[in-house]
Amino acid sequence: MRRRRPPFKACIKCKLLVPFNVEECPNCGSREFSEEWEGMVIILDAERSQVAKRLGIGKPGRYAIKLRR
Amino acid sequence: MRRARFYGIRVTLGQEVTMALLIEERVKANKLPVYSLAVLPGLRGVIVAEADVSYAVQRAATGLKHVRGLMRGSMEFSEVEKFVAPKPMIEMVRINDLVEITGGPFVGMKGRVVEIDKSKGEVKVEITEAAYPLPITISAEYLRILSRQKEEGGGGR
Repeated sequence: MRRRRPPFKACIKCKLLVPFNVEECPNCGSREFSEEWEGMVIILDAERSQVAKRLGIGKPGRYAIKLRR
Repeated sequence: MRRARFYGIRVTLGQEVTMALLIEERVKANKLPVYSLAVLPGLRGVIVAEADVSYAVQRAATGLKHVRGLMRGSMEFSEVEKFVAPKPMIEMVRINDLVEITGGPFVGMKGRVVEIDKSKGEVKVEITEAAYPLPITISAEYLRILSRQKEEGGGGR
C-alpha cells in the first residue's frame, strides 16, 4: 500500500532534502538524516517567498515539512 | 508591494512529488516568477504554487503528463500556513481522544489515548479493536486524531 518514495533523505537539523549518496548536509553540515519524511516544499526564491519566511528558510532548495526520526 | 498568492495545481494521486520536481525544472528553465512549490501532507493530488500571477503557474504546469489542470481561484497565505507549518501532533493530542495509528506494526488500528509523555513525544494508546485492553506506547507522529473527547465537567481549564 505504501507509495514509492522519491530518492531523497531529509537532514534532521534543517530538513533539507538531499540524495541518498550525500553524507553531509550542504546547508548545515549535519551528518544525521531521516528517510521518513512527509510533505515537501521547494523554495525557488527565498527572498520573495512567504513560505520560506514562515519556515525560516534562507536558501533555495527542497525541504521536508514533517520528519520522523 | 503586491503579495504573492497561492495557486493549486491538480495532479494524479501519488504523483505529487514527481510532478513538483518536474515543475521546478520548468520554472528554473523558463525563469518564471514562481517563488515556491509545496506538496502538502494531508492534501493529496494537489501541488500548491506561490506566485504573483496565475499565468506563471499555468505556464509551468500545463502540458505535463500527470497535470490535470489548475484549481479555480487562488488562496491566501493564511489558508496554506496550517499545512506548511503544522503543529506537532504531541501538542494537539489529548487524553481520551479517539485516534488512528498511521505507522508501525499497528497501522490502521483505532484506539483511545490514555497517557501522554510530552518530553519523549510518546503516547500510550489503548487499542479499541482488541478483545482485551491492549495499551501500546508509540510516537505521537504515528497518530491521526479521529474525534476529540469533550471537556469533562464543562468547566475545563
